[in-house]
Amino acid sequence: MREKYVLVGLSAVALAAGLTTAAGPATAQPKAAAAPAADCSAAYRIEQKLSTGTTWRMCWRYESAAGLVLEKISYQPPGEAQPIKVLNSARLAQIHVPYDDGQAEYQDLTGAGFAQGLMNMAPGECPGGTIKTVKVPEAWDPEHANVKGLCTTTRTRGHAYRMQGDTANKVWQTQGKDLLVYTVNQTGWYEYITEWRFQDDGTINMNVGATGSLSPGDYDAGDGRGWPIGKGAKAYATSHSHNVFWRLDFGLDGSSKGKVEQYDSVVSPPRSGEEGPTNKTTRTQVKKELAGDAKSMRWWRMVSATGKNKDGHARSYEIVPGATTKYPGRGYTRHDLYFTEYNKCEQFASDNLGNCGAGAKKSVDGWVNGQTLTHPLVWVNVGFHHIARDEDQQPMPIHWQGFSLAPRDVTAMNPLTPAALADQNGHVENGS
Amino acid sequence: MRKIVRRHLGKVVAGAGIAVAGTALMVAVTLPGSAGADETGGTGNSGTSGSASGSAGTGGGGGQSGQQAAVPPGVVEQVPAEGAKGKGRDPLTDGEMARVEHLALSRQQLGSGEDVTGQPGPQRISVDLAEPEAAEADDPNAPRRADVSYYDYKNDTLVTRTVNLDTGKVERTGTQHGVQPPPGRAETTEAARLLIADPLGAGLRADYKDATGKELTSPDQLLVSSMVYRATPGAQPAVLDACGDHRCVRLFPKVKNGPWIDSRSLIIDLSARKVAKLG
Repeated sequence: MREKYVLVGLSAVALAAGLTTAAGPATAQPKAAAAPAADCSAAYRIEQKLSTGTTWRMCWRYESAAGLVLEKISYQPPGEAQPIKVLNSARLAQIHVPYDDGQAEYQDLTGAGFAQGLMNMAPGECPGGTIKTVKVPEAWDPEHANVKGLCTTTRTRGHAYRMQGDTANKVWQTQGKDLLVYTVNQTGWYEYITEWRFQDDGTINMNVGATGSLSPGDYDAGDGRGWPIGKGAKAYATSHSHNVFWRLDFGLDGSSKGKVEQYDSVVSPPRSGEEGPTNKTTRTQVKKELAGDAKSMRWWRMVSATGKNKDGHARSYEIVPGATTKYPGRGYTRHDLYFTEYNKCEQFASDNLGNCGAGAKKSVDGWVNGQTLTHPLVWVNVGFHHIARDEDQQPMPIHWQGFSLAPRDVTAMNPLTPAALADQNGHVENGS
Repeated sequence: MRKIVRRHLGKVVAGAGIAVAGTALMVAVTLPGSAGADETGGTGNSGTSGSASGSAGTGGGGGQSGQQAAVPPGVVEQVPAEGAKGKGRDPLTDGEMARVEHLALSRQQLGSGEDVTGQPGPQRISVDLAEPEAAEADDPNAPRRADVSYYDYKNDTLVTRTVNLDTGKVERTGTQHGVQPPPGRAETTEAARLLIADPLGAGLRADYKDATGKELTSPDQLLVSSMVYRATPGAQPAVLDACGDHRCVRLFPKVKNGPWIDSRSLIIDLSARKVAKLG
């Protein structure tokens, strides 16, 4: 009975959805002849074909504490017949806000109602886009439990590439386009803009921007832990940190069994006969759970368990750290990045609410305990230490923190390569 | 700030700038907006120009200001109509939420627990689509499940149940002590009710009267959000030492269509139904 229901529902969806996401590439479950179920209904799908030819698809929903959750994210650049699955799920995992004077420490997602503070957006805040109305059952304002709160729109980001042609007046150039997905959540007097930016070249940028107002009760830090923002030595705003955590569940090419690799490069001074210093890069397979620290000349990537590009190279996404001020005050803020084995109850990087059983640790640092990674979850921690300045009034100018995921061998060439240059893969020919 | 505002709680937060943030909560039309709003006289409602180059964290706005001037404001989509059941990773429908709540609690459990007002039945906290089971992470036909959470004020426990929406079975139950999810609206309202009725609520009542000329008698005169408060050794009066095991909150009240009132030094212990003041 149930199966029948599913199958019937399926074909209807597939018909209605036409070309949209549904089945991924060659990863459909082998057991049934029928197509796999749609990832979600049309109403919860975000699908954007950018003017440069790349299509991003995903499903959205809104959780009671995490807020916006994007799932089943796929990327289809020009020339790819099928969407390439990238992420099973992507979401915020905490905003931890400790004050420098030790008098307050907030866990904005799990303790301060970040999700309940979803704000109505004015149409002008989502230029050229669509503002979706989101059900927030526990919204602070009972008269506004349906919040015009999710903007999806596109933006130009400037040059995607530029290359001088062989003749003086020939320039190969494209202005890149991005899909933007964002919400505004008020927590206390702060307003957080959580922005997901999907570029036409396959890059994903995750950023949280803080704006709104400085916490007004904090204007009394006269002990070297604040900055005067009123006239003269008055109205000291207490300094504080925003430590933002993201939780990423990769599903590259439809498989959660991605492999984590760490790359480190070591520079040595020139030896006899060498023109300059040398730089040797080493790859380390990360097979067990890891609390990782970013440093210069170090990076990580998630490698697809199943998918290869047309050059026969395993697809992967590189984790590109953003500027961060790591906060050493708590165990979970001491590392930039954590890889943990998937566990559905592990949902928040600190003060976890999930039901993990008696004695389970409550933060991500405690979940790194030597398990073998078969389905790695990625947790990224980006910190910002906010020492207020006069310009922070009023409203406070937005300050951003975040990081990127960059495709590495997802396609065999630049996904935006113009047709006339498509033969320049692996070698460069003259004249084109 | 203390010097600027001499009020009963010490801090009615009323300055024009701060009111901007507050107003946004109340009325969408007056949301200050981002870059676009200023160029249309700050109404924010028709901020069509300029925004495209505004607040981006990365990437910038490109060099096509002429094009941006033509970008129309966003189009609002209403809440999608939903069927009885969601598909795939759809959010839970209202029907599914009701079904989950019905399935999650037996008649006996409904009778034995206690909600935030002391009535029978534990306090509902949240119902969300569950994360996939590990074994089903790549299965596009995985059943839909819901996680439903209740707080039982009778014994200060957070009960989470995972309900399979296909089979109707409760597949997992977890009981946690000392885990405090974000306070729901009913809990926040109850906390405000306790504070208004308490002698320590005098400052809040007086500030409300200053702001409106009216008596504050009911939480529905305020727009209130709240945060979990946890005790730490030596940081609070003894009466609040149980916070964390008890469910305690601090409130962020705001006069409807008016100023914030800072009451963060007052903690409401919802488990003990007591109000206390921090140092």
